Amino acid sequence: MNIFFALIIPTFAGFLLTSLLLKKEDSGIVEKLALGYGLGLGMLSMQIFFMGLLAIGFRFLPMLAGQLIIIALLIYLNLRYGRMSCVSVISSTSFAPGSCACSFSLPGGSKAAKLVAGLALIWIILKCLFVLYEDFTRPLFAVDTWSNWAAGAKFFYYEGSMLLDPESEHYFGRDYRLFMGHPLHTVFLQLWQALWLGSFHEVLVKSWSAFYFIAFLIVFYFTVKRESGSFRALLWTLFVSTAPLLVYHGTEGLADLPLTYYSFLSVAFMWRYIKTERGGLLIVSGVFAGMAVFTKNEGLLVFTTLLFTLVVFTLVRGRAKSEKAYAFVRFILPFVIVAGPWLLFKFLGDFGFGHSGAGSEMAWLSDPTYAEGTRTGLHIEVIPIGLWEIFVDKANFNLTIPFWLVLSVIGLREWISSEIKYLYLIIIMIVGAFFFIYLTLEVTAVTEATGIHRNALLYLPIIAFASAMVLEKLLSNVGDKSS
Amino acid sequence: MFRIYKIFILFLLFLFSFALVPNDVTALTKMEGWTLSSFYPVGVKVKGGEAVFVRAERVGGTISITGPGHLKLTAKVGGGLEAVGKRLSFTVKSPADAYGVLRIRSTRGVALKKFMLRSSTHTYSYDLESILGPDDYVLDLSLDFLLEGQGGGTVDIVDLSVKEASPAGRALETFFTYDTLTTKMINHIDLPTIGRYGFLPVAYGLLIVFYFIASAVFKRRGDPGARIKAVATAFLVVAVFVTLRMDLRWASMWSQDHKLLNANDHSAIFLLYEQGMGDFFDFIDFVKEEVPEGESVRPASAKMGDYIRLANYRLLPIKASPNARYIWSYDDRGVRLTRGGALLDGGTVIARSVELIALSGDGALYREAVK
Repeated sequence: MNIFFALIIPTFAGFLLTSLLLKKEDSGIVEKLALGYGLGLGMLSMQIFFMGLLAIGFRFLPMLAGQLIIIALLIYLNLRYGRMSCVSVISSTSFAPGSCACSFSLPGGSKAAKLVAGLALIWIILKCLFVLYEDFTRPLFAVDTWSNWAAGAKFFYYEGSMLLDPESEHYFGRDYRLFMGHPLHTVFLQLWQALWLGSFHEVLVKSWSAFYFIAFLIVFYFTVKRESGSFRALLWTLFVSTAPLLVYHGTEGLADLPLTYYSFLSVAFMWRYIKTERGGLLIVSGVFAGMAVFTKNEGLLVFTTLLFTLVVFTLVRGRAKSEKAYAFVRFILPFVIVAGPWLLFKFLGDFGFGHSGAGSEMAWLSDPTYAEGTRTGLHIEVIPIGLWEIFVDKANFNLTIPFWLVLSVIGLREWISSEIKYLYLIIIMIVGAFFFIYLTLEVTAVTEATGIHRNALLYLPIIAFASAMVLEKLLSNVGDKSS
Repeated sequence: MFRIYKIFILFLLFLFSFALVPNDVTALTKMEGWTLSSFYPVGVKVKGGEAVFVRAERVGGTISITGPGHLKLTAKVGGGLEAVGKRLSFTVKSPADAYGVLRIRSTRGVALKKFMLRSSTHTYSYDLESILGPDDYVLDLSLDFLLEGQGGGTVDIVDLSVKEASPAGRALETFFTYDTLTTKMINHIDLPTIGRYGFLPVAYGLLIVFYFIASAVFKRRGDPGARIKAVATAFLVVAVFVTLRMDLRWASMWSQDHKLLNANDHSAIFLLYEQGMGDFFDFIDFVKEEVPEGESVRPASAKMGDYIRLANYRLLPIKASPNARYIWSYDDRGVRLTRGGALLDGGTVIARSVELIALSGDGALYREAVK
């Protein structure tokens, strides 16, 4: 039971923040809860980070107090600036369009469509149940899970702090945090769960993982629904949920799934901004980009890509200088607030980004995990190997990538002439950035078929979303309305 | 009516492919084709006791072995047995933990497959082609069973055989063979194979076939945008097909984990899936009990790789420190204690004077006497 409180409290805080940030948007309670889950856990891990910096002991009561203060503050802000009434925080949003479970009806026009939708929904629910079951019964299993994340969390739990005494032999979790520069989000989530449980439980410290999977599917569904209607959104959600690696990550306590969640939302809100130019959406995009950085180093690729996309978008649209500047502030400032302290801390502590343990040195043009004596330089060989891995040999993302490629060719005119081109810009830049890293730094991620597949989880939902948009465009061109 | 007729033919073809699945191969198909040999107690550490030789008896089609100790079952193949399409399978009833190694000597060398026997009945099945490669020939096969622990136990081996599958049967069999869960699975999950072919090229072939079928249907109906709809339909159909297969994999995992997992026995999953972990978790529990509060530990050798990281993690709140008095080693043959009480890792002195606290399975815990 403790474990549910451990998740419900930050989710409620996140829900309040979502209600505040999206007060002018049409999001219903289900979507806000799914958004609030990630935002709330993000606020929680930032709270723990600041407590660590201020040398406030990692104890249960101070942490809970911190959460309650955040909730109280957010309730006040909602009442003061939001759209909530004093009567109930929830009731004001629970009857928003498509939000209430009691008003649920299967999407689809015809009986056959409703049958398909029903089957898809059952299939998705079964998958979520599987992920929940495995997450709540399987102990921390993958080497990367315990060595990169759980060991640090367990150390902080028993130490009761981040141990920021430079004289200590285990300064900032050294020997327990394999890569000192790795962000702390999932470490702190495990710490939080352990504090609620009163022990570092090998299974339940990662119980947040399955809910990231579920929350991701919900936000993906609503993002596609806005563009394609509920029936197609459901099918696309089923399609995305079938990627085996994504499912498996739902059962483990790794950082890749939260990164997928935050990165996708950052892109989704940028997309909504591009479509509507409502500035508030940029703030949310910036917040999620910041959370991506606080979750994994790869989040920086998402932020820089989105920043570049925003530059291109504002240049193409040709707005006034002050308007452009305002847009950048709206995107960058929330990002800096969320990710800035961590990046500054990392810079001052010289913790680095690479796989070299500690220090900011990056072995450019030489993979540190490669065998000694291996030649340095650009490893061009990773390009054919990588393409072969993704398209022919081992990729296991249920045809999402080939489907996107086929649609990109068929719908070339459609996506180039519409806003969808910005999604393509984002995808190309992110995939390109990954391949740049493989060429120069992480050769073994491709040659040993490790990181290349896991990294694909970051851009896979963006690719699926772009495919949904192109297909929508193509079908609307031929007059199909069966959404 | 026409549709029912077509479905019936497809169903018959499906049954026919199954009927061709098992073809017995040479004398290896029978238990008598295997010889029991080399009973000897090797590598078995019995704390404070005597090593006991393995006893083995053959009753009908069952071989029963009782340990602790080491048993080897060998089958020689005169002239070599082509690996293509051959599958070795056997069922083991084991009341206690044990280890096994499948050793295949072929024209290209020796291939090893380790497996862990948990206290249950389990059928093991190995595709020899996938272990050796398509152009290799088996010269002899042997199965080694190592029964560990103080009491050992009796392991029954039944239905030991090598069979040859038909191409159709083999394609089906490989398609429904699920990959083994490993701790590296977070990087990549295998797609199935169809015979010796990867699944994705087959899926691409299916896409083309379904595209033409869907395209013809949409064109006949006079649908606008027949091409787009045909592409989407083809991908949808094949994606559902892929999903069914991959979700069967999860269903299989779910049913297995349902029996295996419980919140109080976290080591079970490691022992089942991560072969070769041995009794490492028992050893860690042992160290936790032995090391007094406030003391720290260190590994005897840096060569123990993942064991060190896993030990650091699992031993918490006992911390790791290079200056620790307590030193542990696990499964490291290079670490030895001299008569003078020095602990060496190969030729390197780890500590000049230590006392051995205890041995536990493959692990040992030492305390440095003078610090």
